[in-house]
Amino acid sequence: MKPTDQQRWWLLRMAWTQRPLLEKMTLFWHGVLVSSYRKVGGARAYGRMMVQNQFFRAHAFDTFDNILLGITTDPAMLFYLDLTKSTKKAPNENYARELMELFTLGLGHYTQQDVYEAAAALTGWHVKGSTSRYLPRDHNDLTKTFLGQTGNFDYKDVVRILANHPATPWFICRKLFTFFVYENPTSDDLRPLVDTYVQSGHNMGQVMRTLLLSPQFSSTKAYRSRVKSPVEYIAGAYRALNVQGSGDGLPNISLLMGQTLFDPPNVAGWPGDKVSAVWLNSGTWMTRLNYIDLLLSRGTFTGRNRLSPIDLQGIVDANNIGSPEHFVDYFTSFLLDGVVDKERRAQYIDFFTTKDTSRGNAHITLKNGQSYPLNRVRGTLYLIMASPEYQLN
Amino acid sequence: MKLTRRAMIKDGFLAVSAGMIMPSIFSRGIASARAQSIDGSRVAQMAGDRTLIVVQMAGGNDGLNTVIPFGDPLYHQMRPTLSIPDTSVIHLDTRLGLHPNLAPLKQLWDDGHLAIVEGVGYPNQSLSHFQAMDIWQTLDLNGTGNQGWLGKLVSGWVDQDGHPFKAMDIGVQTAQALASISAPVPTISSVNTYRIYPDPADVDNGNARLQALMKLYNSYPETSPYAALLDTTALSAQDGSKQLRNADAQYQAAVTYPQGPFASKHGKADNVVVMTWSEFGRRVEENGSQGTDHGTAAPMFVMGNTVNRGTFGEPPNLGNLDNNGNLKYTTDFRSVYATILDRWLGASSHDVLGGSFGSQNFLPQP
Repeated sequence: MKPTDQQRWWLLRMAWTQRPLLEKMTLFWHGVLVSSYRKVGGARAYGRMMVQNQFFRAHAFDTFDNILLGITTDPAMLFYLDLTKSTKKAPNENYARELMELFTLGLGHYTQQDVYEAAAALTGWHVKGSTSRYLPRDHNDLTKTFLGQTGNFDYKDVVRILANHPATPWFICRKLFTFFVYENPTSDDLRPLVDTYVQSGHNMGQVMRTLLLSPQFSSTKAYRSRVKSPVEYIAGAYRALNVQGSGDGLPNISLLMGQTLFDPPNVAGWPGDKVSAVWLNSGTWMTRLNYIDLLLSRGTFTGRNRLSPIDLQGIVDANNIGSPEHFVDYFTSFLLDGVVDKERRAQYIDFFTTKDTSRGNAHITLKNGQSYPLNRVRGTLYLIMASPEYQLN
Repeated sequence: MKLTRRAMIKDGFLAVSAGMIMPSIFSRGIASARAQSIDGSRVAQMAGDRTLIVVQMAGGNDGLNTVIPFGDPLYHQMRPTLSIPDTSVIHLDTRLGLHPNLAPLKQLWDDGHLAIVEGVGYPNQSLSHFQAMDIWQTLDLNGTGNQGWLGKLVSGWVDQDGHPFKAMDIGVQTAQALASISAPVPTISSVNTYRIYPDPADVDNGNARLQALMKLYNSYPETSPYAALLDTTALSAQDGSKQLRNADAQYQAAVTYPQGPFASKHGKADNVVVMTWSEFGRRVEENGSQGTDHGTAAPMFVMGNTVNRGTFGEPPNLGNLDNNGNLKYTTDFRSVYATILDRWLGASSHDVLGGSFGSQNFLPQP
């Protein structure tokens, strides 16, 4: 399966799933515990990314220990961060370092010596065919001193010590909070999540439950406080407009918006997951607008797979939309949660009702019998989905 | 290293670029910056129609196998499988040579257009890719900076026509070095996609719809998160896309850099300097996987007609490594930036870098 087919598959799955939170959590883990198809053992091994993706989905709300154990021994990860090349005599530092810096503790909580010791403890895992396996005879069984503890440690000990380290819940809960709520959370914001992590035996489902029920999650501060990621924007618009397509072309659009699934820019994941402002620049902004234009008015993804634009007359008829006001209210009710102030609502209605001529005199007829130029009707929906509000979560 | 401007734009080459060879855009942007500087613009003054291209080699480029100290027996001893045999090294002098894949750079060396700055780094490296990239780009040695050194530079440039093309970024993500708090830099993956498509049913080429959209951005409540970002992004896109397409329509020749007469087809041979960097070099001693772990100091290349050929900085000592077996840096990366700012871009390095870090003589005093 080519990477673009994998990307298309996942984007459509996100658009049509009955469990959006599960897909979002899977995306969260993909952006934290990073691998990329570019380094999983060559083109014939791209399927390893799908194995990893299914792992994240199956264990999205498992304990952090299980998630770390699974990803440490995941074939794609073993390749991506070189653990498969690490040997008893010559431990490779790469996975050990990123495991601490980017997956669990963060800089400042470990030394270069801890990197050496963890690398030695992690030896023994290798990719064999489509799976991974542990070779005890290739495990370095000298005594290690890792983060202040001494023993003949192996990969399970490394994961245990890291999952129980006091810095870990703060690190992972900060990432989770930033991804789902808002940026720069305070210690007070994070403490309930950290407490849940400790009390629940590191259960991420319980942590997520605490997060979703927290006053912060439903606060005004959290509302429209993050720029949607390209993937959220693409899947969200696709689902909202009920686009029935093969998803051809979506991977390239996603790339131009700055996010390629199964290929984060580096092991630190997408910078936009941390600071969502970086998703937006003039180039990616125009790609967002052109994507909406494509769904609404062009309806074609590639030369060989032509789709129709959305059937706006059908939507108007099916929902008995009887006035320009009704049209704006109908679409903003689910695209902007109905949160539109009077002045901005008036701007949409203004655009809708301005006299104009559509090419070929195409028009849309509302239930009140009045016809309006197609470009004005469609343009109003475009404005809603291109608006500042719709760029934000 | 065949970089055509078109290839870079088409393929989204990983490059940070503060100015590309796009004459109609940059001569004007830079010329007007110079005019404004007389009235006291904030940071930068342009000395003339000059372009800096910055190439980032992300991931930690192995400096020792790029610029090879082939005469040093320690190099061969510590890299039993990875060292490049003397017979393959492209010799530059009796001490240093280039990796065999870098033959085009040898031509530049022979033509007198290549400088190598040795041992470049900074104190207390954490060996983290990401902290190192942050430091190189934002100059904050804690790795918590949010404004790029080039972004800070160009935010001081004022184009009297209000055009955003004082600098541009190739790709889909604005490089951190170009991150600017006050003046977002256009980020472009291709000329074709850097435009807003009109509704095919529009008879005015989408103008009315775009105006209505700009009004929605302009009137978005200023107190909302990202209000300013959204507004300036929209403005920069609207204006920049027109300008870029005009420039592209006038562009004809495809030229390969840096081979051949450097950018000479544009009559700009004397106007371009290229600087390369990577967040760190690799460890001196190879690891057991026929690879190298994270390292510290590494060489930088600076290329261009006006560049003084030679090696600058100080060679790091392979016999005197730090506790992790890494090179001790000899040359502060900020002294390289300072040289380019002061001697090439006509800016005040003290203002951009926030201090004095010395200079290297790979560019002549202006």
